Amino acid sequence: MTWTWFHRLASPPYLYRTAGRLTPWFAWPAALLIVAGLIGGLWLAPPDFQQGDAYRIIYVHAPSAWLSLMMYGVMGIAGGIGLIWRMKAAHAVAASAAPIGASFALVTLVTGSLWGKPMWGTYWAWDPRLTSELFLFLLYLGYMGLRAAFEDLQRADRASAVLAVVGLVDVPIVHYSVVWWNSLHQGALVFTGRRAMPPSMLIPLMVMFLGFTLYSVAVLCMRLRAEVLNRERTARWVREEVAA
Amino acid sequence: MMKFLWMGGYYPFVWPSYAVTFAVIGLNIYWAKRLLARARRAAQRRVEIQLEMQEEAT
Amino acid sequence: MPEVGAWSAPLPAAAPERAGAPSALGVARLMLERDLRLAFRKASQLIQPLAFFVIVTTLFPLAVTPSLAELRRIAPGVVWAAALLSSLLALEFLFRDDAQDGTLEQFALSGRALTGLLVAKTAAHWLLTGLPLALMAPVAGAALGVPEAAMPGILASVALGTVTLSLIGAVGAALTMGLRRSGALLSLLTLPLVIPVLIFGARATQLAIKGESYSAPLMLLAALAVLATTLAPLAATAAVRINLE
Repeated sequence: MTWTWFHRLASPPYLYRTAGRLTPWFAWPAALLIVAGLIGGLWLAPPDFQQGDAYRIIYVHAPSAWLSLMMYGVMGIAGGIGLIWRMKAAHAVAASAAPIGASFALVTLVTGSLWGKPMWGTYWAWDPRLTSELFLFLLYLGYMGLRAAFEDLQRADRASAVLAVVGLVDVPIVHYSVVWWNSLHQGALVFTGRRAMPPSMLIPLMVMFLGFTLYSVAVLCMRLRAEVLNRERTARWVREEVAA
Repeated sequence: MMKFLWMGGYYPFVWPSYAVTFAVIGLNIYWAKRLLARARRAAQRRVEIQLEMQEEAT
Repeated sequence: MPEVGAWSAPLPAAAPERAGAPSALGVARLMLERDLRLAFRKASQLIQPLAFFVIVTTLFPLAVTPSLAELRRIAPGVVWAAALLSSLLALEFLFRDDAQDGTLEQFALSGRALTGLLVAKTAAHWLLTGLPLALMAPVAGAALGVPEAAMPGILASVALGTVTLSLIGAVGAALTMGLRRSGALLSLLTLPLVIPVLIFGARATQLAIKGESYSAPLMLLAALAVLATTLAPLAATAAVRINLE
């Protein structure tokens, strides 16, 4: 396997154009999959025998939670690549991923508490997964706050990359410590959602997962293009690109 | 149809969840588009200013 | 031309074998001594985190209840939240002064391993905040109705937990050392990262108060401290270098 494709991505004009070309290839399948998942999840899937129709929140809650984690991973890995190989393009990826991940962490929290109200009888229970999601959201806020605090772009890139890498190591520790803490205080979990799902419920969920993932890549590509354009504003290729 | 919207009585939780999620999905697209449009406009403006300066110089 | 060769000769700082030059460990010790001496000259900075710790713990009896039986129940949370915040309070200045007067830059250019120097500074921070807080925690605990038998547990858990707090806090302090008003940002960066310390530390304290064995959460605290000792100085070094560039 050759790494030329990867090295070429380090070139801003190539990255800009590739991201532009790829966007529709992710966006349209994502739209189709999300619509299909909606029909499957809201219409076709049967109500749950315990939770009735309330469980249908899972079709937006779980994929949002996945996006918030995935974007953190993208941010941390891109930040690490940017630090180690001094690849500016990787920092642009990390900068673009953070707001997307943060917004879906917030969605996860809101839908989680909306789901909690009928299930737990309260909007907020100190459920381990919701609690770690809250810390994930705060980590995103810290990352974006640090990035915004620097005037010098290179410094902002590299300092926030260090934070993202530290966070990447720490997120699993935070998660498992929260799970450990919760198991002490609540005994049996009120709601685990880990029961085996029948295919009629599971397939729409998988479709939604895939749809959300593709969607996030499409949005990432769009943000990345804006980021690259802003960073390279003095470059000649930008002049040619805009003039054309 | 009413039965569908009723969601077994869970409509006050199910529909807001979907509304919030799709609002954020839409907003993310909108923000990304606006960001890109702004970046392009800024770059275009830069080119225009440069051209003007060149004209003034000649 | 013999002078040309001189350009390629190693810099004197990169050759620790030079007679009279201290070893890497010696440099770290000198750094530690210097930081401690500086801190003792400004006694107010030394006392502030402790005073803050006392004030925060006093708030709870006033705000919740003066009943010792009830305070005993919330004592682990009170002690740990107060310790966390007091430890953070002093962090903002960990690298600030040295960064502003150029000392840190000189250290970075000295050819000595910057990591060792940063570890020494972090150790000084722990000795000046973590250790006093650990000694103060049983006193605060006594005021909250904690039985005497629980004191060793509280002391040990706070002493061990603050090691991790100082190490991770040093990364946050290094990241924000060039920024003007970084207090709130530093807390936002550091607190989510140290949640495990709070969880295990409060659990150890809780078990100690109940008179049960607290060795399991203490081991977990130790594991966190070991992990932080291995990784955090590397991140802090990277962060300092970025801010000095």
